[in-house]
Amino acid sequence: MYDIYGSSVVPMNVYEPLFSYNGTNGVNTVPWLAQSYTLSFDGHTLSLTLRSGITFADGEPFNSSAVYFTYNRILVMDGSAPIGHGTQASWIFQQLLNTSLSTTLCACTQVYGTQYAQDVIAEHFVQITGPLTLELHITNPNSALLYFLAHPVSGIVAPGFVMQHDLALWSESSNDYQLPYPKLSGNETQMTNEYMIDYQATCNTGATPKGCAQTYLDNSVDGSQAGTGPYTVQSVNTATNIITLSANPNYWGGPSGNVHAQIKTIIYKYVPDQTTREIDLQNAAAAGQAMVIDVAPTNIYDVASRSDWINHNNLVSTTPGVTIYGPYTQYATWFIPLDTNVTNPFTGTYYSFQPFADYRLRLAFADSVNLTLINEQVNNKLGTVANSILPPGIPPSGTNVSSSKLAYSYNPDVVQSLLLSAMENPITHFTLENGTAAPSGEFSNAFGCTALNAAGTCNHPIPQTIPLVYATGDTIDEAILNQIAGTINNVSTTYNMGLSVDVTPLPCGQMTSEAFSGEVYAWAESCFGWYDDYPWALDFFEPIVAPGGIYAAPEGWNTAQMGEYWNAALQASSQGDMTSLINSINSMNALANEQVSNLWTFYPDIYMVMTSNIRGFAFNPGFYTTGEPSQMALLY
Amino acid sequence: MRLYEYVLRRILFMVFVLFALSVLIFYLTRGLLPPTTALAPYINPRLTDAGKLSIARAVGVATSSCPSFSDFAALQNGCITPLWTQYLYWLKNVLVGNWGYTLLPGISGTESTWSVFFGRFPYTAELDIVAAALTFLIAVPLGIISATHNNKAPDHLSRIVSLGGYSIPQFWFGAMLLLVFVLYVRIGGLGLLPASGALGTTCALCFSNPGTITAYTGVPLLDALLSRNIPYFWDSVVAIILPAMTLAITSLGLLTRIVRSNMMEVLRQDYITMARSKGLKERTVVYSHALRNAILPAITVTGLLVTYLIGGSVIVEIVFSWPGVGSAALVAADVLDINFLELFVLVAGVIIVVTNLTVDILYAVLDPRIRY
Repeated sequence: MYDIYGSSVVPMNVYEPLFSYNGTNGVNTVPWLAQSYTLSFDGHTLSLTLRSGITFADGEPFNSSAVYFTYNRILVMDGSAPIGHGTQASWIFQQLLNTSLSTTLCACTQVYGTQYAQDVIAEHFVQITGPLTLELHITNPNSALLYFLAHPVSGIVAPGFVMQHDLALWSESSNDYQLPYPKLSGNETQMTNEYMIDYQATCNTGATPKGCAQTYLDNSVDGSQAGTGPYTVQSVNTATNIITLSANPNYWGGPSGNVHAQIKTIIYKYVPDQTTREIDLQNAAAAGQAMVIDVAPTNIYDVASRSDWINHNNLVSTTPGVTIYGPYTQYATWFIPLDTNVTNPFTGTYYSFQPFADYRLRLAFADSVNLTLINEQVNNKLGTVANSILPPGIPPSGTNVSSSKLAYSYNPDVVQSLLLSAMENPITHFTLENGTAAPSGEFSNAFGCTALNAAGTCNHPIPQTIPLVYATGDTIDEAILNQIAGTINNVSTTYNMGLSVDVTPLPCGQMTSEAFSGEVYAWAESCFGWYDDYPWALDFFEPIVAPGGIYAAPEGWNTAQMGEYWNAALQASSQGDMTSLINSINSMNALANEQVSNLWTFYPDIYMVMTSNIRGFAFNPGFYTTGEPSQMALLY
Repeated sequence: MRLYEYVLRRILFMVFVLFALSVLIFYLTRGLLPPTTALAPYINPRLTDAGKLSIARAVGVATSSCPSFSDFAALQNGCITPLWTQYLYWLKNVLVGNWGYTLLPGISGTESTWSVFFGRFPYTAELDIVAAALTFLIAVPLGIISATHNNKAPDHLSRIVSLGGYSIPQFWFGAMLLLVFVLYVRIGGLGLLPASGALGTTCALCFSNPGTITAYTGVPLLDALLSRNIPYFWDSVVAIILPAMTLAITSLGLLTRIVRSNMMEVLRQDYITMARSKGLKERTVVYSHALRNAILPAITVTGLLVTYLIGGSVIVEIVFSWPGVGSAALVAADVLDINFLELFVLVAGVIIVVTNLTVDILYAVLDPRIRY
């Protein structure tokens, strides 16, 4: 459920989950569509009582059948639908169940069809116990459970509406799908099960994007009628890039009963040019209209007073009728992975030179950049220099993120000694990605010379080049990588080491695809940033530092030790043992910092730039945003 | 040779040109980059290796027999589809109208490239046509004034406008127009013109509720007329003023100078002297006799003008958030949506070639002395 701009802000205001957050707090979840809940001692059963009297925008009643339909629909889709749909929702819930049925979690290719649907049904994830009561049966207990249920992608949808429209869509003659149940029958549970089998019948085995059928909610403006949220989508024009939301007059009012969309119409416009956005904002302010715009950190002084910010840490608008709120810290971290086992993208073979297999070179690169200075001068202080993969405040509370110790700090003298050491005594042992020792001679980290001459330089140095890449247009990472290159190249020139660091911009997509194909030495990850799927420390750890995570672990990592901490954390999470969980998290954090697998750069700040006639909004660090308020009903 | 033979030859040449273009752009986007970059728009950190491999197969880069994504990334034997095979696979699909799914952010994988492109193309066509009309309407009189007041103040002013416009960066000029007509010139507290989009509803000259229209052609101005919705038509006109002016002002320099130099040459001809000596009014001499002959070479510049407008529309569409294919092509380049880029280049190629052919034919019709 992502809108045409690839964010979840629009769906968040149309569909609502069973749980949400306590206003601006990204830590505490509160029942939202759920009234109350009880979690069994062993974490395997969550009993829920739903609120009564709520209807979907199309008039259907919200009840336990709707939850049964929604959650099973998420499971059966398994990320199999066309690109941009399904993947994000499915694996979050599939963590709780039989992970062999998850393409994402088992890294396997599912065989879709009736049997797959039956297997999902057999998981009995949702058991209806009454019109407004149900139980969730959880195979793998997880302390982050309520965050899963508060995730925007788990918004509850109207089953009748969705089933009717999906079947009509799949039955169109142009689609050529053979549906086992062209007409659904029985009670709501039986109809849901038949719907799931029908959906699976539309799937080609494993192939995407041809994959399984699109669904009505993917593409239709009217899909918003299947939500309970304070807004519905009035129109979407993919040609003009305008989405218009209208206040839902029958919105139930939220848990307090007092939440109602005070701004009746919201127009989302895609305006790619920063200058145009700023002119639009000034025009709106002068005309008394309400408007919010995105302002990039590098453009903050277009709208804010530089002296107030630099001298007093206040973001004060320089435009009459415009107010700037913030900055706030999101649960997001920018970082630069330092990779090994890097392959040549054109030949597929490993590069002989694997600099970041050597801890000394990782540390040298990390020590080469003054992040504090870059944060001030390039990022305009709109971030905090990171000291950990975990952004401050991310649950569970109690991790010692603020006192996390880094192995690196800006120190060109140390860079010099590290480079000399790595040059004079290059490592000779390398480990392949599968954990086996590399054959002798496959890699060589030799550069420069093994001994300096009388003049203190190298004679006939062995040349090596290390390219660093950043996304085109990303001036902050450009500055970081350029400073690293400058520091390293200075040392190299001084001692005639023959080591050269280049900095290259690449289009975002190309950089990311090469990076995730293991073809890049080091790259600036802020292309998409690392932000939470849900606000939980383990969600950050898993892909980045946990063994088997999607970021390849370089040679020299203590993956065995990290694996022990990771397993301990998982066990503690499943048992609800918060003390052990926090201890494991802190241990993983310390080890990741010690190993310098990545250069953590900033926790990026977010700020809201809006006309002053908007007096209220909610900011939640758990919801990723680029500067727009995420909960429109709280605007007034 | 006869005209129709000439036209036939040019059409065949056009087909060859388009084929060469498609090979060139395919080679530049697929051939010069590593095979893994074909997956660029799909790759996200939460995708498994199995998912990446299935994508690689779906886009025709990995063979069906490739056992794993790491084998594909390692360019193992039997894993990578040869480039010519990839091209033929692509060509076979596009010839039957299958351009795949667009990879533009937000609608990636859910909309076909063809429908997205041609859903946006009318906006670019509308903008470029209006800009071309404005260019002619401004450049021709400016060139005439310049020629008839050679080395006097109007000539100097014309030179400043035409050469200045040609030299000014479009993104800057567009921003300046926005400042002037959206921020500074205000009526009733509202900016005179809208800042962005193809329909303005919040400006001093705008109708706030123009209603809706039926998309007969996809071109808003035309559709508004066909739907007989005058407020919508008006709001569309108001919205196109600034982007069209930006394109026109920054592209009229060449045409102005050509009209000027042609007019000056024609005005020196004996038959013009004869016309004056017969007592004809200067206005008649200039417009009825001189211009008709001077304008012919200017027509050949139209081909260049179309090329310039197509390229210039990329920047202008970004500045004014105009929902055309130009701005989408820029995004497509960033995400390596090769199909969209190919379609953009080929359609632009067709337009340019057809325009030049039309100009050549028109030239031959208007000037009987011309033979091909």
